[in-house]
Amino acid sequence: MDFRVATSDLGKDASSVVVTGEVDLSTAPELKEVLTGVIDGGARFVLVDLSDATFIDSTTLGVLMGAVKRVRPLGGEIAIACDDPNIRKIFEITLLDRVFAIFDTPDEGIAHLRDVARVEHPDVSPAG
Amino acid sequence: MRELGNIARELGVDAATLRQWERQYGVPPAQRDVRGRRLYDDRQVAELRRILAFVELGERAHLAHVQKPATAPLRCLRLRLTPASDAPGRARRAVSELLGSSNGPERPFSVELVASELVKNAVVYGSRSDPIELDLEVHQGWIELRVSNTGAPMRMKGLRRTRRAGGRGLEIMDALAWGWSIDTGPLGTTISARIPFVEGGAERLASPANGYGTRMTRTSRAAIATAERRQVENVGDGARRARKH
Repeated sequence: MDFRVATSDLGKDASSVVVTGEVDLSTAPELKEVLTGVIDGGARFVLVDLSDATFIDSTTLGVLMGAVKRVRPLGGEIAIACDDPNIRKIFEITLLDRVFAIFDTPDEGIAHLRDVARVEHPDVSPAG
Repeated sequence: MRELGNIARELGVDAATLRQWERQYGVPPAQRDVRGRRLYDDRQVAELRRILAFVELGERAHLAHVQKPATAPLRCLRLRLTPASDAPGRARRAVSELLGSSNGPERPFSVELVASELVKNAVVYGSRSDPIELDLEVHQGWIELRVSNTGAPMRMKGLRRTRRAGGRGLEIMDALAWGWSIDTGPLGTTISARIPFVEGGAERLASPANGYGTRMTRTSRAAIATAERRQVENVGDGARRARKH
């Protein structure tokens, strides 16, 4: 499967980045560019959807960690959607399953980010 | 042919240990000179190095020896890759072609992943113009994988920065392989890994004794440090040799 990466706006300061195919040395720079663009565009809560990714490597992990470092100071979070046991194993081996919240489906990831975002931005009505 | 004491010094083990290995396990079978001293050729030294790498990882010497490919591999693959960003992908495709199924539970994911990581390291930290060589041997129960960058030794400093972006390749290999070693010289660096693999069956996931979630073990860090030292020494030797001529 050819590598593709697409983004969709989840409203407010959340976005999802959908990755298809193999992410490695040759394609990770493109993922990095897209993630950087999304974060620069104001997204602090980002779901990286790896449901249709067929391979990731240490370069990919580096790109994801880079994104975490960008959003953390802003109070944001990167969540991962992935149900491929092989890919999940890579997160486990490197202990990064403790850094990213990983979900089986994108919907669960989005729900999680919405929860976190709501906690981050309590809907306080203006005083007065 | 070289003499035992000399080799023991080079490998940093007691001559008595090497004698013991030969007496007890017959590894490696040494030849004797007229005075009965043990002599080893380059292949035997390489074999000793390989056993030592396993022993350093906690394997017992006789098991390290037994695990060595005693018979010819069932199948093998030899690739020469241009050091470019598409090299890891090419390596993965060649590996999955050789091992059969590229999808489903039989996908040899660990092998693809380790091959990909090693080739990536060779692209990123090796020579930018000389080819990368990948050798893969399928044995009953495991795979022997060797990736060499040619032309110049790998830049170990980059390789060692395990926590930097993309620097988790060795950590991944460390978790998936039974054992691995780095051999570095002036003309290149070879990383060898032995990965559990059952032909035709579902991939047996490597489960390291201490489980996932361990950072690179101290021994693997030590292996990199040793390789780095050897690299410096080799460069030093080369310089000395050059001066002599």
